[in-house]
Amino acid sequence: MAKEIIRLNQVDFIYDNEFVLENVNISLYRKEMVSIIGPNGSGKTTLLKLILGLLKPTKGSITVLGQLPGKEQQVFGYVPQYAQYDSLFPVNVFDVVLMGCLKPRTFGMFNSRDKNSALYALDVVHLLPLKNRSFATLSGGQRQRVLIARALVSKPEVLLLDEPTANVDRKTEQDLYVLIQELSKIYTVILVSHDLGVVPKISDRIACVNRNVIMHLKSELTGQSIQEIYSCSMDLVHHVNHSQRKEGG
Amino acid sequence: MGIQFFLDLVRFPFLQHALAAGLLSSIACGLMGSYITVKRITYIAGAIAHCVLGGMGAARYLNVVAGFSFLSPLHGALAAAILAAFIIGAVTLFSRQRVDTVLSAIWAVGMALGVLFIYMTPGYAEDLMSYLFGNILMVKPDDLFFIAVLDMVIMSVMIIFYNKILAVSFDPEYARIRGIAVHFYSFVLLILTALTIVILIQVVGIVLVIALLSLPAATASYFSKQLWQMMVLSVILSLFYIILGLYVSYDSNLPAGATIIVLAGFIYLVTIIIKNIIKYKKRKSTV
Repeated sequence: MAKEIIRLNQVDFIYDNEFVLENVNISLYRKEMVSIIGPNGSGKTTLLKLILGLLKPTKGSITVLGQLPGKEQQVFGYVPQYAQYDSLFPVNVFDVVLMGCLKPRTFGMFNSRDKNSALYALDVVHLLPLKNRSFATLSGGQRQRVLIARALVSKPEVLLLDEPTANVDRKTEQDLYVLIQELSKIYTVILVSHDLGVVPKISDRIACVNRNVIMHLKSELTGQSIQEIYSCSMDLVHHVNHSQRKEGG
Repeated sequence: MGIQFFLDLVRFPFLQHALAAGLLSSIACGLMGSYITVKRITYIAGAIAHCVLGGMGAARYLNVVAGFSFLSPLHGALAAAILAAFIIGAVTLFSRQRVDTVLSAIWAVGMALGVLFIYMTPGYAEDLMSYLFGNILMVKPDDLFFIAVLDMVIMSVMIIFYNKILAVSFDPEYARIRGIAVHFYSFVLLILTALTIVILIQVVGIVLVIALLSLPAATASYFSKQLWQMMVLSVILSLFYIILGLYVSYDSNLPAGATIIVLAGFIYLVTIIIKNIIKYKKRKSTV
């Protein structure tokens, strides 16, 4: 059996006297690809932040490789939601990727090993020719690739991607999913997504979040189970071509 | 325009001190101005700058009325700026208060306290008035030493922690995930911003300090792809504005602070116009 990497045991998270997550019990294993789905405000990003150690559970315990989250920064490569960035910030692609090499004891310049790792990560996401370009001048899809390279550069155990295909066009979305599938062969991947058409195809297991978290194998995810999570009628469309995607609602 | 400025520069120590103050303060101004511009926190600098009047007024009151003869308005300014930086840092990083409301309160209450202390202190507060609009020609050798020490501190912090400051400014959440003490660095940079403001108040005054912090950095941002480039260019521009402003104002008998800011504002405006014309021509040629 694959090694357990992350365990959430009876985890509650309360914000403003409201339960965001309640009694979450899940385990994630090495080299598996888990997608997190759920309606807006269901607690998907909160779940991710609890795993990363950015938030502390109100009740229960979380362990990452047997330690408290946040203690082992090298474990995670995190790709946050795209919309947060200041488009006027003066920073180039290479510098953004190098941020993934930062450690609490980093002082002065990065060393040549860090720089080589950043070049390699840029090559993996096919953006090496753009390394000196200003981050602000990149397209949405290119920015996401840069952020994935930043997450890869520290050679993480787990890759966490928070809605990486939000705000990108269909072609870019398709390319990003191909890249994520390639990466899932090397890393444990946790993907937050709203794309119910693609998620069952590329994931080993799916965490359905709506205050509780219910784990499904990809074969178990049906229109009925999604309806229970989203509390409304929803079609699950498995498709080959993204242009045929049918939006649920 | 004549050469009187240069002739007097050789003869008068006060003019040499002013030039040295311009040279030294442009380093702090360019480095911290770039930081507050990319972080979009010029309003925080504005609140700190204005609340400093409260500290200056209190120091002068304690000096004249309570007999604390060792206290000067500069000591009050330092104390008020650091206190304001701590309050603003605590509110923005830890509290769920409306930040703009707290900043407005610090901005206005600080000034109001300054006015009250000036009213309660006997005699004409000429020195405080010079702090409101600045007077680089009144900078003393002791002030130069203070500015030089602060420059050293700011340059050291920027060189040693540049990569962390870049990450904390660009994406604080990610920096936190990488184990960087984001709150610590934010506080340190806020304190350095407060100290820089106290320096610049002597050059351009409380009212104009936000402009001197933000205009060189804003102009530099149009020509910079990386934060360090913006910082270097911003230092050069600050130096150019201060020295040119000093020269023009001295020869024309105008207030130096206001002249420096008008020059900086004019060059910023010209930069925006030229950049937009180039952008428009490029777009037109590609259509």
